[in-house]
Amino acid sequence: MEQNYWTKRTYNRRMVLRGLVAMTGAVTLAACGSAKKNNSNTAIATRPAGAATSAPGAGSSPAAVAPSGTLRLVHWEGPALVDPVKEDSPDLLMEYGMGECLTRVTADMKLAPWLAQSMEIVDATTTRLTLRPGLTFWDSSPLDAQAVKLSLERAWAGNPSTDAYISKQTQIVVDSPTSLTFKTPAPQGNVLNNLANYPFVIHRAITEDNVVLSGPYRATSIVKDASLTLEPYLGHWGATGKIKQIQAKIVPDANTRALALQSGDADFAWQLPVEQVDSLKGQFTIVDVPSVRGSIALLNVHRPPFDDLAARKAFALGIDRDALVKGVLLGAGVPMRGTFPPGFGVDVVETQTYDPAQAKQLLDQAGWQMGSDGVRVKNGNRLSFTALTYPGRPELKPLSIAIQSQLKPLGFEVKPQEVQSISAATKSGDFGAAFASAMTLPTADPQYFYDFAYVTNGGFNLGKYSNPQLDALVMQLRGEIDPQKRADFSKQIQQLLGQDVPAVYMVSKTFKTGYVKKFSGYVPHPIDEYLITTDWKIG
Amino acid sequence: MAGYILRRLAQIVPALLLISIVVFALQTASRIDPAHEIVARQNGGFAPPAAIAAKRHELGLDRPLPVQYVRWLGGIVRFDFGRSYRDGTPVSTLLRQRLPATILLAVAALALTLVVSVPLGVAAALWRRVRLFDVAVRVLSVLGASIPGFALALGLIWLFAARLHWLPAFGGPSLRQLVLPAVALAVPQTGLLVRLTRAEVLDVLGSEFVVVAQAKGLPRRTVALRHLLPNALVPILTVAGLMVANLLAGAFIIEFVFAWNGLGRLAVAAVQDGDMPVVLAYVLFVAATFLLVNLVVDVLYAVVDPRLRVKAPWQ
Repeated sequence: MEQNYWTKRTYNRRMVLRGLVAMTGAVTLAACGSAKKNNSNTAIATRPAGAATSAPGAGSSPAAVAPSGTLRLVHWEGPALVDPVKEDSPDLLMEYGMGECLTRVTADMKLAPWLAQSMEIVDATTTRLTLRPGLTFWDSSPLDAQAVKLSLERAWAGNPSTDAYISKQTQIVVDSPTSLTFKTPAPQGNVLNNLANYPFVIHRAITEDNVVLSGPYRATSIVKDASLTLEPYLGHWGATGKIKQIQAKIVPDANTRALALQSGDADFAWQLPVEQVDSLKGQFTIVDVPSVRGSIALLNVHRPPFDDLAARKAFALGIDRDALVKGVLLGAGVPMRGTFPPGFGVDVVETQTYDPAQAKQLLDQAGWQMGSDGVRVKNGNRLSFTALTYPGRPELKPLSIAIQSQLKPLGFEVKPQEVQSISAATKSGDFGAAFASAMTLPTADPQYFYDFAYVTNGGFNLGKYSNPQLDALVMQLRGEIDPQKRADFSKQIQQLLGQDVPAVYMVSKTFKTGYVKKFSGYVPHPIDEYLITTDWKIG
Repeated sequence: MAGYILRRLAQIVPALLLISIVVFALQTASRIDPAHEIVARQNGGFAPPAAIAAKRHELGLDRPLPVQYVRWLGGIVRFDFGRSYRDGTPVSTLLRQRLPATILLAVAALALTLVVSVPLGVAAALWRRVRLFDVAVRVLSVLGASIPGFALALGLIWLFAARLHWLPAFGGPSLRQLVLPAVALAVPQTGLLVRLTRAEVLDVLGSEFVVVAQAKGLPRRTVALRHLLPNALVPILTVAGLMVANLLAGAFIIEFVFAWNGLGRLAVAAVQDGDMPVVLAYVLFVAATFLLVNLVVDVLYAVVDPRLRVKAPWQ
């Protein structure tokens, strides 16, 4: 009775079908509410960045071509503030063309003046810089030597880490409105390189909450973690930005960034997933961006198995880096056999090659006996370690899994483990290897990375490696100003690292960037910070 | 009823207090050091110990834990949730900025879920003898409920944005930008609710009062709307209530894929960075949402089912 009651006559299959079609139609109509594609963004300017006044010097810049067009850029992150001292990721201020330093690193990894017109190393403790004439901040106030001094002093006061790059005891003497002299308390040969580092972006704090910069593009609206609108600063000292408006959308998922390019929602997509690149070729320009970023495994040298040099060396000898590039990075990268990725103007001493036979021999000689379960044992310790990775660099996890299988025949047991924070997870010392992706040459100077990752108590020395000989060599490098002698010290340090193996070098990823054909002017740079430039043009 | 609601509201306060203590303790017990994370982020991973110590002092993290908790609680009482460790933005500002986007997405997804799943579930139950229809509904609902959120989201973007160019690839405040995230969020919920509705209606369908109503010759619409639905609705309400709370608590995978700037993304970033003030405020918000939604659902029970308004003799 129940079946007949509910299914008789008026509720037949046709009616059901009709109902479903109607429902689908309604949903589709709702979805396609507007007939035309609407590309305009709704600006939600909750935090105006810096002074909003137009530069009176508009049009007076050397390149007086009127900016035109709108570029829609998708990036995985963006700044929340324009203050390099308070901003969580101040590197983004340079990346988005807002912040400038006194010096910069060029695309071919040479140090060059930026806001400075010229620079001179007078002696091991004295560096002199002359500023370009007519520099101004976005509020048109002069960017002179006194302003530079105030900016650097504010950086030292607000970001204590800056002291490690250039001592806050450094005396800055304003010689004239356009020249200033740095006198460091101890000899330091890389002051000019470190002045290119983003914590030293030159800025002016009108008030504590209102900071202005000097770059060719300035933010007219920032919605934290969502979007950013940039317009050219027409009073910029160099060429002015050629694009009238850059609308940056923060899209954390790489696949979505690629799809946004395909859907026409973006003109420029930063860092695309390699596996999607083939489907984009032809329709879009795809550019390879080699990077100074390197994937390395920092080893915990204070506990088994990596307190044993033989185990560290066997790890370094046991991984096939070419296979990692091919299999994990799908060809988008280069193997790293030395402290730095190859090809960036720094002498790289290759100390780690693939030789599994030698790795086995080393382990045998060191007394690591193969156990019945395929894992070697020595003095009751298994040749087993936890490989920590973190989600911020997605390539690390597959690398750890590939290395797990590469090291297995040698008698290693690798236990990949993803953690939210690599620094937190390594703090207790309860780990074997910390897989990390590090900017090795952000200032084109190798000393930065030695200080950072290998010197005793270095800020990224996660494995707590310590060798007084290395510390002394880095100290000598620090005080040396002669380029050739610096290069020699650098090589000696790398050789020492090759002997001690506190880290295993793996690969350096090549990033993929894509953009529409009507866009031009992008120059791939091995350092992320130099993304948006005045050469960018659309249409 | 008013007294009941007031009593329930009063119970929320100690519950929130307890939750805040647990979350504060858990966050503290986690190995993430906010000072370390901030210094490292500001300097490309480079975190000198002296800089970390200075940051810990600046954030007040070098004070005893009870002092930190009481200071934080004192702020909460004054509706001051503190400032984000990341950039000093007041947490209340962050919540205010992100909440509208989350509410918009949640409401759209819920509306879509209810509009599709309840009629479909009822129809599937009533016409379950129409084999093709019944099988189609059951298969689709299982598929909808089991497909991973990120795969569905990327599939939708690929089809409707990259291939057909009908809709934008990522989310935003306009209706067109809302459609794909809302659909991606609604599909799994719809799958669940269709199955539940079908099962509940089938259950009620066998009741004597429905058989009597049918035997009396009442029109089908009357039987369905006055006898079937109200009785099947109570469990559906419970699940729908939980869905509201889940949607508001943050659909972070969908928000991540569609670059939707809601609470979910804020919370995930805060957890990763050890941004404790934001994490604590978010957890309190989620807890309060669940408690309030449960209260609303309880009140709605009484509205839907008059029997629940009548006191039992022993009450």
